[in-house]
Amino acid sequence: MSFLKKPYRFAVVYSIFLTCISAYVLLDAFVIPKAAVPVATAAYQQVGQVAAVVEPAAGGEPVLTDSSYRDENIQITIEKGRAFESVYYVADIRLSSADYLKTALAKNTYGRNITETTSEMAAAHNAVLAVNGDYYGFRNTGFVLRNGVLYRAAGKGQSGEALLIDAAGNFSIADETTLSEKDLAGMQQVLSFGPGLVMNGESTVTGGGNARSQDAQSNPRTAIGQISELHYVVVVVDGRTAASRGVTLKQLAELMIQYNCKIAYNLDGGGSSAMVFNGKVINHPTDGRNDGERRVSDIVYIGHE
Amino acid sequence: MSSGPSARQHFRSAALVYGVVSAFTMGASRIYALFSQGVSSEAMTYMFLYPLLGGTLPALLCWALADRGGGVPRSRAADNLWNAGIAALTVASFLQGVFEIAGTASGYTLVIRLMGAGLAVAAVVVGAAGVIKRR
Repeated sequence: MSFLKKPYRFAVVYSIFLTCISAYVLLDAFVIPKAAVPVATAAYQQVGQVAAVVEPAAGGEPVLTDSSYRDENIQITIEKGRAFESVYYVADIRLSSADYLKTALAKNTYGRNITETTSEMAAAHNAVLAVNGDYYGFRNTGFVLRNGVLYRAAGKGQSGEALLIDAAGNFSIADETTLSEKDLAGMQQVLSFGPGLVMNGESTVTGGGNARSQDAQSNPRTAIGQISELHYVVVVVDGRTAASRGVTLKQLAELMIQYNCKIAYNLDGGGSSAMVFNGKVINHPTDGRNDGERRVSDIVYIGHE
Repeated sequence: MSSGPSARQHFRSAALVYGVVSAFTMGASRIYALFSQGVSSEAMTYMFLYPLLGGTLPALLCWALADRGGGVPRSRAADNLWNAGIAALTVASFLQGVFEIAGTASGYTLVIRLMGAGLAVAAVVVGAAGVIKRR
């Protein structure tokens, strides 16, 4: 103790201690990978196929172009557009079964700071189309249910909305503060980012009041919506560049309504926003400082595996 | 435990150092805001209040009162504990701000905050015990 009684020694030792603590806390939050176990496995099984709604391609082989894909179960059309001083990509998706609407975790492992790029995960699962998910691994709260497996049953404490996708592929949006594990029976996917953008064909994004500060900023965005049974829209908007400003949540909701979504939900955006079609990143992912895909926790994809 | 001219000088130095730290943390939060894509955090914005209200103002008050009555008693142990507490609270606020801006959270910020509060309380207890003992 006499060592610490000399002038400034306590300050120096304590400063080193505090710096080490801070470094550990930051590494723990942003860098150190930590795998975790699911809350429940195979608790939410799919309930079977829905009748095919897509016309089979000639000869049964997939028909692929730069902006479209079609086989007997999946039909995707990609459109590039411009609105709100921004470039956006819209994927119109028709499926014969909800089995083809899937999610995947980075390195097939649930946990914190376990990440891969959207294109790496898409390649690992032979995805026809993939977009970033909700980046669940960046937070400690928010329900995580993927492909029928419940990984995290902790709702966001103060506010938040989750996207629920049932076994028939139908979307619904739930308040996470009141959502409980028993509400998830029959659900195939739960994504927790939000907020919900569109409900019954109308925007649910308000301009002021409850809008979070980042919601009102122009940013790259990713959203997923449902038009009708097994008919979906996925939108990725580029942002933070001279060529594309990015959109607010209100503008994103307007975009989803323009594409006839009856219900739509905001996924992780910013540097995470990425759309991969047939193995290629088709948008321009950037966090505003560095170009290229961000490594994220999960993807939503269309594919057979 | 001491008071008088040396204590007055000490409080003036402490006020100056805490003033510099307050200005530094205020500047750091402004610079961080430039790179946070428009996302703000109250914990980050107002972290300078810990050194300002917990350091500069008390030191100025003690400096002003140093020549009155019996002076303001002080002890190295209490000073160290108080400074450590304010530092921990400021760091916890900074980390909280980083996490809020990034859109994540960590339970460790609460641990550091509690540690800071505990050190500040310990400083008051040690300081009060010194005053009682002196009388």
